[in-house]
Amino acid sequence: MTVRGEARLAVRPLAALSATVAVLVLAPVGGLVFFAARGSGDLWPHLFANVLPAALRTTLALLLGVGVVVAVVGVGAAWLVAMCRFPGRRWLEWALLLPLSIPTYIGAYAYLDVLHPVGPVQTGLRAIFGLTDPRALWFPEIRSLPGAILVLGAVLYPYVYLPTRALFLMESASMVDAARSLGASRWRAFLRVAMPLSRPAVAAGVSLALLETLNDIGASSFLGVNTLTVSIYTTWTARSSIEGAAQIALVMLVVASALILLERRARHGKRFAAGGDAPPSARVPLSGVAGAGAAAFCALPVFVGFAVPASYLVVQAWRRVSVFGLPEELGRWIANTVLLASIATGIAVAIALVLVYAARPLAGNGGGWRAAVPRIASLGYAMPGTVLAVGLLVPVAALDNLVDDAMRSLFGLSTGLLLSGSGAAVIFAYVLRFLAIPIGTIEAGFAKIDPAIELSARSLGAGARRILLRIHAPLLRPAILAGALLVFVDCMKELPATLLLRPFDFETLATFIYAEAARGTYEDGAIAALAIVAVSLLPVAVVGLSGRREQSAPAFPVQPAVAVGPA
Amino acid sequence: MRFIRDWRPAVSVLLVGLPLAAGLTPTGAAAAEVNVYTTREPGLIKPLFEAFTKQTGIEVRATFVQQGLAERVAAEGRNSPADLLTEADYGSLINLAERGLTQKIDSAVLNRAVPVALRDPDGAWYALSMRARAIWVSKDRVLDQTLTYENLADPRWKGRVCTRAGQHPYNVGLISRMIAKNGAEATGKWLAGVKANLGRKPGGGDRDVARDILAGICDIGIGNSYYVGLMRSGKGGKDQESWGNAIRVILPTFADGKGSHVDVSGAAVARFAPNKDNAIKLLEFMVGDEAQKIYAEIDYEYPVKEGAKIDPLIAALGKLKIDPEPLISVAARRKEASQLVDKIGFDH
Amino acid sequence: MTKRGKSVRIEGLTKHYGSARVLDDLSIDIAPGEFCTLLGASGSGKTTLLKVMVGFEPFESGRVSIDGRDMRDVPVERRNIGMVFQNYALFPNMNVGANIGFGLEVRGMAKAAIARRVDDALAQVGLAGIADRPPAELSGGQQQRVALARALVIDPDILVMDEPLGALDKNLRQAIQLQLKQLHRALGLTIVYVTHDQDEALHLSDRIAIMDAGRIVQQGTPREVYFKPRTPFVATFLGECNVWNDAAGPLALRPEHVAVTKAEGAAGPGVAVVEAVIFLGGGQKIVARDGDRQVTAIVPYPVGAPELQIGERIRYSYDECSVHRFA
Repeated sequence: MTVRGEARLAVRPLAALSATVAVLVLAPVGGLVFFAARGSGDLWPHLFANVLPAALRTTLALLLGVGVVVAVVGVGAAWLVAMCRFPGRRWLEWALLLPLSIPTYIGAYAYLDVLHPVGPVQTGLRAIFGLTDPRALWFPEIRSLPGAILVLGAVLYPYVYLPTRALFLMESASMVDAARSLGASRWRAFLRVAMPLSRPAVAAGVSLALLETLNDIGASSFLGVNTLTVSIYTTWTARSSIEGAAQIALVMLVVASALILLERRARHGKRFAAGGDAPPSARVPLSGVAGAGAAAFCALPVFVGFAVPASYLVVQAWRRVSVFGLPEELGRWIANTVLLASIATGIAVAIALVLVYAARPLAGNGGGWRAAVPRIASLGYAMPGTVLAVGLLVPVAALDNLVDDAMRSLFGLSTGLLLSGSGAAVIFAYVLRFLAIPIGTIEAGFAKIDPAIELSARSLGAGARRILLRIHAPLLRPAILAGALLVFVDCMKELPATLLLRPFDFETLATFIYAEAARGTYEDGAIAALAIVAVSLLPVAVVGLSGRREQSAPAFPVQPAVAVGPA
Repeated sequence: MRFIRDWRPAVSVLLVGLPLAAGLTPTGAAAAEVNVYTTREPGLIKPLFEAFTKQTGIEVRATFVQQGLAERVAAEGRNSPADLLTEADYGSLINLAERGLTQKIDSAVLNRAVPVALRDPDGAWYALSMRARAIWVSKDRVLDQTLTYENLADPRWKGRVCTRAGQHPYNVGLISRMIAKNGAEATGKWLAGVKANLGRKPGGGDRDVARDILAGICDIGIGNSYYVGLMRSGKGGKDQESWGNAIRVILPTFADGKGSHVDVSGAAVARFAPNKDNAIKLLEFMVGDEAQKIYAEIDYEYPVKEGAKIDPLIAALGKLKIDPEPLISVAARRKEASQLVDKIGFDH
Repeated sequence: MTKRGKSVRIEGLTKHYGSARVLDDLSIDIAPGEFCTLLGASGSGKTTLLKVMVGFEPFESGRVSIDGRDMRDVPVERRNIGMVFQNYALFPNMNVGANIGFGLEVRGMAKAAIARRVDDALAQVGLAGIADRPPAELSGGQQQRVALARALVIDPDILVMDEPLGALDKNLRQAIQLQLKQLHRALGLTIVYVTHDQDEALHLSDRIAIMDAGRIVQQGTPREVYFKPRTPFVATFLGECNVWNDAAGPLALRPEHVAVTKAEGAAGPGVAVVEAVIFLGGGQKIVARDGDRQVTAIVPYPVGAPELQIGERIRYSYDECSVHRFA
């Protein structure tokens, strides 16, 4: 080291924390390697010949489809809401976030039920036309690739909508004005100026939505779409090979990480720009057909992604409640869910803040190895929840047993399992799984803070800790808030890790839904599902409102915060 | 350290988190309790535990694990708090035993109650309840009263068959048995024939088969016996009742006419069970009259205990003949069966 | 209140960004209480030098001492250097009072005392009564002075300023320069000031260090560096300068020391052809050509007399004692 970095002194605790987190995050990967290294015998030739090609094709088709849907819906709605004025705009601007609260597997259940020949839609239509034979009407089958694209796209587009809208609001307005003044039509200004400008936000949002798609198991397997993740799952269950499953998972992790790195490289240096001074010029008023069209374009995703599944849940839940009342334990499930989700959110956000802070270029020599830590820490988001959970089992239990052995030999005292099967293990899994989200939002927020502000605080005598708490944390508040809310909602919906790692007799809303769905008593599950949606709505509302406030006072570039770039 | 001390957010998180984590940590064995890891749905198995606690005063703590039960027990090793492991299918039971996660027990009560064919010869696991993999047909559109599993591949059902995913353990179990009986080649042809008959992509659950038959998407499908009871009883709501009433249930045999494919749920005592005695007590309770009645009445399963009463809804399906192929031999074909599903591309 | 600032000594400082050498074996001594300006074009390394001095940037070799003490292991926050940034870097999440009080808060001062000191500091920079305003509501000049107050209130041993007036309009800049000069005198601080504006450097400094390519090419009082530039680079960088060669070698001559009269008749030695006449208000600048020698002169505007025209011949002359010969 030739560096005589005085700066190093101040951030050494941060570096230590970064290193610790990096190691912890790699724990589940280590668990997978442990399984994978045991070898899977003759499984791979079989997988190559009979499983993976089809799974790969299906996965790519699903990703492509969902990618197109979320991009078109997300960008289109963001553009209309940010740049135009039309009936219902203010209401829709917020409502477009609502599908965030719908877990993908709930969306799948709901649509299968609603659109089934014996479901309400087709039954209703038959009643109108006076038909009795359930086969009389032809309806597209939801249990199909297009069906899965529809369901996933409808609930995942907000990942694109949120950051893109913020970007349109913040900085492209003046550029679009400039393009218009140079004679470009509204449409041309959108295509040539606004779209390219918003590309980083769109890319970040789409990559999040695609990772959610890639790692989805509930909706895909329910709709009979055999993706790679479903293959991992069946390799584990039906092919009885956790080893093979771990091997596929690791390969998939490598591919997903490579794609994420590519995406980051592609937008390297394209910061979400510092601007934010120029308030958006007056929105273009759309009236008549154009206004109705815009309203319809924005209302449709809300209808498909939220109104349909939510009202399905309301109806189902009501049937159960009207007969039996609310389940006695509902309050406890909600409390458990919220408790786990809040703690995990708090930890995830705190860690993300520290990691991003430690990795910023000012921390010594260009961030050094610490710059890589946020990337490593985002790996969990590129893994299916089941895979992460089973990968986590091994190191956590190994640590427990190590502690126990040590205590036994030193003090003749058995500590048993401290972490395995504890709330802590579940929280750990949540944090690892979703850390990428607050890292993304906070990084985006950081990019907007003038580095001189930190230098200035340092010259006034403030240490790293104080700067983080007094200067950066407050400035990053919108980014932190957005990240926290997204993590919270994701934790609320999380199922596989909760199932595998939770303690005895510990039920969350998601595990209860699963248990009921597994048994087929959907109506009981509907109550818990509705509770997830209801609780998730609170933070979604906060995101929506904070976005709205920012508009009237764009003093500090708030939201794109949510320009979440994982990994 | 100074840094850590002043690190207020982290500290506050820890302050909340640690007691919680500690509070939720399984802390060894209390006086009278037994810990169960189960892949059986809690709704099905909870009533049993409640009855057990009522009778013995021993508290049952259960965790429903969807997938990874074996991995969890293996990882926890010697310190695992699990006493009893209950599984929803024989494949998983045998897997547990093969991986050395269970211990052999010798209980006269169990040996008396559970027929030899439905338990491990050495006492590493015991079946507790049974279900038949039945054929469901449309009440209105299909007249057949008896069918074999092999019939599902008959070309007359083209475009009329519905089933859940071929890779689901329920179907893998059936295919395994067919391999054990008819050989891999014949089974492969049969499976390809069934695939050619499918009316929709394999997926969803067994109940969806009934619903699709009601809707006319299919006329015939495969489903477990207890779902019929669950649907027809109205416990799953009015809609499901109408699905259950749209089908006629055939308890099929293989071509040899010997009997139906039967799968079991069962349990094993964990190798490092801290409360082994209580685990055995619970296991013995589960084959007792009261518990077997619960299996029959609440879950609509077939009790393993000879002479235990079957629920009327299930009894109405007809007399169950069990295919004599031993579970061990069926289990040995699971991998082959699963690969066959892949090769045929059944789920694609 | 008045105290003596501390000395800064920099010895043999070398620093690279990648393979680019930004500081090249650079040394400079700044005396206690001195107003020292680092003057250079952009990319000359002046801001880097400032950051190294403050402790923001690591470096490969050399030594930075303040008041005789090696700063190697002293982090930024312990150096007690006040810094004013080019874009002020006010904390947008705090009001003016909190911004100024921040350094005192860090030093653990009681709230009431902070409030008092903040008010004093605001008064000192002529902004009394705006402590409650958010920085975003202030004009550029006000923000600049808040940044200055924030740096001064911690009672720094050294005040460093990185192009602090660059974003302000000329009148404001001159007003603040004056204020700065007075503050310096009153406080007796050591000030290290970075700028690329020669006039500003000349107006403010006790000493100017002219930087080029990571080195200090000359340092001295404004008069020294202005009238006795060591190299043609320094001569031309510090305001306009005629750099010619004559029999005795290269020489530098400031345009205001060139006298011009209308030349009658033909060309000859000391006669040049006018190429441009630029009205300066206080005078006029004449650019003319004498062979390969470009002659620049600043002369009084000829009130009442006919103006020089482009293409006219002039005779130029100068006093030999105003000629500076490069050593």
